Order: sequence, then C-alpha cells, then structure tokens
Amino acid sequence: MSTKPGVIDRRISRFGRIKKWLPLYLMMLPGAIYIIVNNYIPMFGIMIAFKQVDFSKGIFASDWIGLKNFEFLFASEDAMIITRNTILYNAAFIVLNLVIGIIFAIFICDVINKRLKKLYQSAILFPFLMSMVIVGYIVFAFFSMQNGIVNKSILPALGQEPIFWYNDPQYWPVILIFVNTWKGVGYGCLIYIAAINGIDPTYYEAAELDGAGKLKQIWHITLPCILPSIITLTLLGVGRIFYSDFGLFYQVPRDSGMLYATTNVIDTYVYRGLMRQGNIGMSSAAGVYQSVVGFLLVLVSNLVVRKISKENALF
Amino acid sequence: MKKSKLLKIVSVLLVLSLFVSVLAACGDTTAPASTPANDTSSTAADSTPVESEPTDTGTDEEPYKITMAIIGNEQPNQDKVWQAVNDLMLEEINMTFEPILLSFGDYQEQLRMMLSAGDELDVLPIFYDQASSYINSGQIVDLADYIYDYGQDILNYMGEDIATSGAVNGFIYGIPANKESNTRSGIVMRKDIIDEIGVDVSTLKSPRDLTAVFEQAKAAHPEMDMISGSRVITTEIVDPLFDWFGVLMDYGQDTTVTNYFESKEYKDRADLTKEWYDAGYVKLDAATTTETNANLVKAGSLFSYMAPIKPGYLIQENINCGTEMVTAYLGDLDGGYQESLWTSSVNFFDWGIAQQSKDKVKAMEFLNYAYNSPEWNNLMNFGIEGEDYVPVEGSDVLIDYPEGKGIGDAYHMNMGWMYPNQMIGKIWNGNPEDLWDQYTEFNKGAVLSKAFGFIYDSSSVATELTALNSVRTEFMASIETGSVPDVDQAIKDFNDKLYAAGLQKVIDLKQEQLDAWLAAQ
Repeated sequence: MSTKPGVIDRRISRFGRIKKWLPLYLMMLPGAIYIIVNNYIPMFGIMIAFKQVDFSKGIFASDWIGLKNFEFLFASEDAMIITRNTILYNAAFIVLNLVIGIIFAIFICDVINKRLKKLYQSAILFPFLMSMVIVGYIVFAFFSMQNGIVNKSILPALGQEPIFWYNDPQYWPVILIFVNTWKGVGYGCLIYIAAINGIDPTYYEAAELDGAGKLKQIWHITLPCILPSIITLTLLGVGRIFYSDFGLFYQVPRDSGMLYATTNVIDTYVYRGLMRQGNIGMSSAAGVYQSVVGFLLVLVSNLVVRKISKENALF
Repeated sequence: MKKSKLLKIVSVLLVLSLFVSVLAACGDTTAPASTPANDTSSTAADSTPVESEPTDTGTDEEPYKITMAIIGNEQPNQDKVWQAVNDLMLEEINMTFEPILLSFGDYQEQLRMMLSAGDELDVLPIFYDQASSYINSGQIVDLADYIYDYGQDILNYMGEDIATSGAVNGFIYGIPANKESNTRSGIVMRKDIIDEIGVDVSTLKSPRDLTAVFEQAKAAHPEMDMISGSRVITTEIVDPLFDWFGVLMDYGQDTTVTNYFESKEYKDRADLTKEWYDAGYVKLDAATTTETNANLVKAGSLFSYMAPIKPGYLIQENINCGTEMVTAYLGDLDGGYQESLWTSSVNFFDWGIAQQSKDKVKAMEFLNYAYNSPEWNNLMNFGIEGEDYVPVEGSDVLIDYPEGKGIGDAYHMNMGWMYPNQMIGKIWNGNPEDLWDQYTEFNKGAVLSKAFGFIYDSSSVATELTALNSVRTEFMASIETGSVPDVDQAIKDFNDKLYAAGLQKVIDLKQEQLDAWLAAQ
C-alpha cells in the first residue's frame, strides 16, 4: 500500500498515530531520560555557585553570598590572559578544523579505491580516539629538551642549536594548534564525509555535462549541500568557545610554569587555583560563567546565521 | 502479511529490551556514581566486605562499623589482614572495620568526593594544607567536643599540647599522626660515584659545597644529570606558615610575617640553582618531569637529589633507588643550620572525624584505641605475624619478611608515618632497634618556631589564595630548578604577580591572627 505520507496522517486518528509511532517514541525514551537525569536535574547545582557551601548545613541551607564566588575569575591580572588564550585558541581550532576537515573530506570522498577510502577514513579518525595523556607523551618525545627527537636528531642535522621548548612560550601556540588539528580534525571530517556522500550524484553529472570543473563543482555543489553540517558543527564549537580541552592545555605542555603566557586557559587556571583548596562554590562559579557565556554566544551566532540565511539556522 | 506482523512484534520487543537494558544500566551506575573515579583504588575495599560477626562480644550492644579512609597501595593478603583487624577490633572495642583504600595519586579528590557526597565515612586522614578548607565547608568535626571525654588515652600518651595542636581558631580538626616531625633536608648521592671521585661526604655542609662535587662527578660521568626535582634545593630555613604566602624568617624565630620570595635568601638559592642549570648539572626537564628522583637514579641517569632525611631513611632509599646511596645533611647557603619545628611539620598529617560520621563518639573512641594499640598499628602496617612478617631472631622489635617471601608477596603497607601511632609498633629489619628513641630525640633536638601551634584561618582570603596558588605554580618550579632565562627578572615578575593577586592581604591577615594568637599565649 503506497500512499503519500501526508494523506495517511489525516485519515488515522490521533491514537492510531501514537500507536503507529510507539516504537519511535520508545526509542527516544532512553535518550530523553538520559538527558533529563544527566543534564537537566543537575542544573539545580547552579545555585552552589552563589552559596558559601557548608556541608554540615547542607547545600540548600548554606548561606547565599551573591557573586563572591565569581571574584577569583577576575581577581588577578591573569584574567585577561586566560580569557584571551581561551577564545583565540578556540577560534583557531574552529576555523582550522572546519577548513582542513572539509578539504580532507572532499579528498577522501574522491578516492575511488573502496579499501583505501576506508583506510584513510579510519586513519584520520584514529588520533581523535587517543587519550590526551598519551598525546602529551608523544609531544614530549619530540620536544623533550634532553632526549627529544627534535633536539637530539632534527636540529643537529640542520646545524641548529637545541631549543628549550618547555621554557619558551613563543613556540606553543603553533604546537598546540598543530596537536589539536592533528587530533581533532578526524571527527568533523567524518561528519562532512557523511554529508558529502549524501549529496545526489546527479548534481555532479549535470555539472559535468555543463562543463564545470572540479573546483567549480566543489564551490557550487559540495559546499552549499553540506552547509547545514558546517553550520551545526560551527555553532557547537562556538557554544564551547569558553571551554577548553583541559588535556590539551595541561598534559601537552606538561604544566610547565614558564609556558603559562601562551598555555593558560580558563580550565587550567581554575584547576591550578582550586586544586589545593577544593572550594566547590568557586568551581561551580567557573562552570556557570563558562556555560552562560557559551549559551549567549550560541544565541548570538544563531541570530547572525538566521539573518543571513534563514533556512540554515539551528532554531 | 503474517511475516510482517511478526517482524513488527519482534522490533517492538527489541526496542523494549533495549530500553530495559539501558534503564538497568542506569540503575547500576547510579549507585557508585556518588563516588565516581573510585574504581582504581577503592574497588579493592568495596569488593572485600569485612564480615561482622557480632556474637562473642562481651556486651549486647550492636557493634558499630568504623569506616576509615586510608592511603596506600593495594597489598597482597589484604582481605585477610583487614579481616584480622576487624576481628581484633570486635574483640577489644566492639566495633567492626571497613577500610577504604585511596591511592596517593588522587586521594585528595577522592576524599573531597566522599565528603561532598556524604558517603559513609567516620575517620579520615587530613593533610595540614587541607584543614582550613574542610573546616570552612563544614566537612569535619571539631574534636574539642570529644577528645577530652573520649580520647583520654591520646591526651595522656601524646601530651595535651601536641594532641590538640591541629587546631584553627580553636577548632581541633585532627590528631597528629605520631611520627618523626623534624625532618632535616640533605643530599642523597650514589655511593659508587662518590667513592670513585673520592669525596669526603662529611665535609658537605651547605648546598654551595655541592658545586665542586657536581663538577667532578659530571667530569667522570658526562652522560648523567647531577641533580633533579621540581625544587632543587629543599633545605628549609623559614616557617612557611602553611602555604609560603607570608612566612616567618630565621627558622620561625622572627615574628614578622614577610614575603619569602622577595628575600635575599630566596634569590641566593635561585642564583645557585641557575648556576648549576647553566653548567648542565640540573636535569634540563627538571621543572616538568613527573618521574620520581629515585626512579631516575634507578634508571642510571641521575646522580643525586635533595630530600628530607630522617633516621632510617637510607634503608628505604637504597631499596627505592636500587643501588647504595650516601647522605649528608645540608644547611642553608652559609652552612649554618638550626633544627626547627613548625606547626605544619608536626601537623603535616592528622586524623580527623568526618561530619557525616553516624556516631562521632564511637569514632573518637576508635581513634583513642588506634593511637594506643600496638597490635592494631602492626596489623595495618605490616600484616599478620607469621604470614607477612616474622620477628628477627634475637630482637624484640625488629621484624622481616618470612623465609621465601619478599616485596610483593606479603602484606607490607610500610606507611608507618601515616597510621595513628607507629611508634608503639614493630620496626622493620635494617633499621636500628632504638629507631623510635632516635625519632623522639630527633623531635626533641629542634627549636620550636615562634608560631608553633598557630594555624591561620584562611576563609576570608579564599579568592586571593586561588589566584596566589596559580601564580606560584607558574613560577616556583621554573625558578627553583634554574630553568628561567633570567633569575632577577623572573623573581621580579613572580613578586609583581603575587602582589597583584593579593599577597599583601594574606600577609596582613596572617600577621593580625598571629599577633592575636601570640598575645593569647
């Protein structure tokens, strides 16, 4: 029986519809419960950020202290540096992962050999699955001042003096951005590959008939077709612009104090400051601050997207 | 038709089963969720419920279960030993025993988690630098309400002064573990190399004397690092007043709270370390290395390191380094030294009672017992006699592994300094028989800091301390390993940032509280 879907809806009663979609609702249920239990219920903890928590009284009965817990985020002159580092690094990550991810996705989709295609796809995702602790040691194997590959083999071969990598902050923006791209590009790439594979091949056939070259096809077919994926991933990235990958900024520079000028971000600052104190009010304040700013940024960027092209906005 | 209906039913069933299994999984995970990240260390404790058999006790009272957090590595024969501890306690004080073993790597986070989540917990270890924050967040109990009524034996044994010295503003947060307190720093060096270059260790008095030693040793072994550690020179000449943000100079004899990082002493040390770093003596990666010094020596890449040295230290270090070591006490840069004690060296490690303890009186009674029972301390530290250790022939106190057993075969926590009272227990073979007397002598030989017994209340400067801690991690290791390009500039930047982060406020607060405390003495 093949009728148009819209027609069938009107004929069946509401109960019938629910019954028909019951399996789908059931499939949604675990996810919905998970989100409510894991993401919504804990939100009551936001109030911890505004309290002087005293466990003998309990969280609810603890005293309200207004914004005092937030002060430490702005107390030192590091506040500027950590905010700048966090935002600039994340902006660089978003742009690079987007551009390089799409380039790799297009390359991989054009690989004709099926087996090689699978291989490249897995290979590019592999670093994403690696723990930052291990990545930190891999980087250390390269840059260790005493035994690193760079100082021991590469620089002497080029006739250069060894460099004190972990003592000099100027190299780290490049190293960190490289490591993040190497590690993170596979994830976005995978999503773009899926989006590109979903494009109707007849578009390309028509374009070829019209004499469009490869670059023209990419510009006029591939990119517009995967635009929704690009916007979604970018908005997700923007929403997390105030968060930073703790492992990347803590494990990879090996917590070297001399590198803080270019490696200190909000998460590592909070960790270093509160690790010894264990003040959960201040820790929550940092979390609330990050999520509120992130949320506002998502709203703003979505607004911008909606202004430019309405159908591509997330909401 | 029939086939498609069957398919439908099957698919609904599948979805349902998926749903149920997810729910089941949720149910499973919610229980341990209160103590996440416990899996590495405390599973051992969780999986070994110590059975309580409340039968043959003198009283009719239901035995109280003491839950005690301890720090250490998992041991062979652990279940059996803890069962024995349980039986001992049941017999002697009608309590059962549930230890929770935390690893050194993350015990602080774990304890916080347990305290915050309200897990079952009676007695916990408290490191001095945590006390203030535990008190401020109401996570521990003021022992002043209990120790005088239920801890009489502790007071008698340790003396009221020491027993109640772990106090902030009169809030007694814990009872100090009875151990050697006065640990003087010195240099630990590989004996074979010292013999090779022919240095008389007894002539070494000051860190400055090491320059000549390093020069010779480096010439003989150019491939080795001479010294390492995140702080290269560790001899202490000031009372750090807990966090180094405002200290008492001159071994705590000067009662003016000052900024150590601005002092000439600090700069001299930094200069000397820098001199070593530039000469290639300090491990280049010292500021960021996570490897212990002993492991580096074991790997053959390190010649020496500084460490606090106490009686019996060499026995322990020879094992850790896998080679014979020699030590020499070092003083300050002029070679002078004064044995001294400050609050944080005595109250480095205390035992306190958690706020969520169901029966704080029982918890105090347990502590009273634990500080005075040699059997309890021996069991916890060395395991069961005959299985994990045997007495050394011809000695009352020395013990050793049983025939045919060694490291890794028997329970050997070897954390005597952590347990309430190691000084009433056995002594491991290789140490002198009068080790405890030596410890006592060692403790007595020291001059007390003027602020001995004083612990400041940091609650009003929590914001400043957060920023200060962050500044300190930024500079301390790099200055004190000599890795900075320019010492003067680094020290200047360090101090500028400290003051910007509110150092003066902390110093003023400490001074104010110290003056009030001194006046009340």
